[in-house]
Amino acid sequence: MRLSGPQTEVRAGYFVIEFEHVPAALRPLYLQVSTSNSFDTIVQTVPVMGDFEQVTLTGFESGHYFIRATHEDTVVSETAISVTVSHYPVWQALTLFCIGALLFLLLLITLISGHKKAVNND
Amino acid sequence: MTEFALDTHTALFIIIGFALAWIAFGVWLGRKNKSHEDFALAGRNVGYAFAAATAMATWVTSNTTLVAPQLTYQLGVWGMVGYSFAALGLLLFAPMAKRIKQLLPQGYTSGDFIRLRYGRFAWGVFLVISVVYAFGWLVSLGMAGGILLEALSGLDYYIGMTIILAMCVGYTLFGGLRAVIATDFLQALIIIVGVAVVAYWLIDNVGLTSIHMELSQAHPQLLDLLFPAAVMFLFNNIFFGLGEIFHSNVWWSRALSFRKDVAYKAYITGGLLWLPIPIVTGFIALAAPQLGIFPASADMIGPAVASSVLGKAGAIVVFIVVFSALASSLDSLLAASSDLVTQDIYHKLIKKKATDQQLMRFNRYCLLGLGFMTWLLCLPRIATLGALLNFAGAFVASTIWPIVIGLYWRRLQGTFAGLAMAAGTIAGLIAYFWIGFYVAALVSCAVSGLICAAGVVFNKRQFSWHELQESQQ
Repeated sequence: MRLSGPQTEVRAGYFVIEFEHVPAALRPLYLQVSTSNSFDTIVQTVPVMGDFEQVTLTGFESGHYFIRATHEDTVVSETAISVTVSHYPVWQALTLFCIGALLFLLLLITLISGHKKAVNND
Repeated sequence: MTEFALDTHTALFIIIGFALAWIAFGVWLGRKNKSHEDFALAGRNVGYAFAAATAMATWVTSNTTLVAPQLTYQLGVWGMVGYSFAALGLLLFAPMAKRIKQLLPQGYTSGDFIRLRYGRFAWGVFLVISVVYAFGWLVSLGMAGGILLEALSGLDYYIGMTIILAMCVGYTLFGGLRAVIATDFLQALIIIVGVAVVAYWLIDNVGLTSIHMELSQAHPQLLDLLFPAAVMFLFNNIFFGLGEIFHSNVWWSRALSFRKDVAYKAYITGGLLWLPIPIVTGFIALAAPQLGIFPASADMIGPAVASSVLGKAGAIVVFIVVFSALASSLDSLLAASSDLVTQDIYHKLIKKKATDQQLMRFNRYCLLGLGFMTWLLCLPRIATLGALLNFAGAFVASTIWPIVIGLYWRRLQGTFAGLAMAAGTIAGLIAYFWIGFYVAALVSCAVSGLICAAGVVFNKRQFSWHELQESQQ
């Protein structure tokens, strides 16, 4: 069984893992996520929902992760795949946040002053 | 085999029962429609209770019932809180609705206002934006219907999507806006009661402490208040919501259909009622990891968790709530979009001397056509619901400044307004593909605002409000 994941860096901590040709005998299927290629430490074990052929994982911090599929504690994927999570820099996010806040404030002032002017004209 | 919360027959029984009931209700209400104004604007006589209910119910849609959990699953706490800020759209539209009713007492659509206030160039850009948005939202709603049924009952996506679309087209076709608003009232009651029941069951069954522990250990980013993508998403979502409401004929046609002095109170009430709903629906997604639920597609997370925690009875409640939410938005959008096409394209461009009956007939054909095109576009599941909706954010956020300034200030002319909308949309789309969906609306609004500011500074002519009265002819 072959796994596939995002080909580029993940920028928001969530991504989709797809798998091909999963025989019914391999259900229920689990994905193991580790920070090392040898899977010494398992970060999380994720049950795959129903008989779907993909799963969406979420909430990852920046780092390299390795993922493989298991069924009844036996590894069933041909190889483990790696996913790199690299969040946007906080300065970039806060800059956009501040621009958004400023823009919203300006909009609020425009709307409220326009409304007051209209009420006074009435 | 996957075990679903509802068996396929139960789901089909519920959905067909609702479909028949709503269509019969639409036919019954449609008896009072004697003119195109009755059909399109419910006789401009909608009272406070119905007005508040339709404002709230229309805004509770796939956004709040499916996309709010999806974004919470992807972006954590900020996804949930940020989503609830979309209530600002309804709250800030309240004074605008009053102004719209005052400036355009005989107006029909948001397109009327843009054409009369800014001229044909800006109107053309606005219509393109409206059409892209309307189809984006219609397709997302149709898809949401199919996804909901598939996630809860295993019913084929195409069958579920087709039934929901056919039902909404059916009762809107017979009853017009009167049926839309009346069904919205009942659907709002179902949504409020249903969400309250789900919230109670969730708090009772899944402890907050255990959810927090699981997220802290295995998904820490979801609790991080400095989660970069989520921080970027916050104001983006606010501007997306504002753009959706400020430009869309869904909200303008309601403002124009409400009785005098009702619009302001109705939108404030609707906004306040809507505010807590995304928090409740988003919270559902935070419980997913602790319950061992990891969906195939992020937009399935809400129904999947709710049905897992609440069992079969809960799944039925969730099913009815989400189904009502979808229907209340889908019908509104179908009605408002067909009004826009009938009034702005057919009546103003193709057949200027069309009689009242011809307008009403064309409006109905248009509804059927829109429903069919939506069905065609829903066939390939082209994107997740969140991605599809936020793509439209780049378009609608560019209309915020031209509309706000245009309603209250005289010093902005059509060329600048049209350029602001076009350039804002293009900049938003570049940001969407270059950075991500969580900045598209923000960039679009910022660029549009800068061009509008330049327009106000350089303009020498003052617009006369009397020019808006053309629509009375």
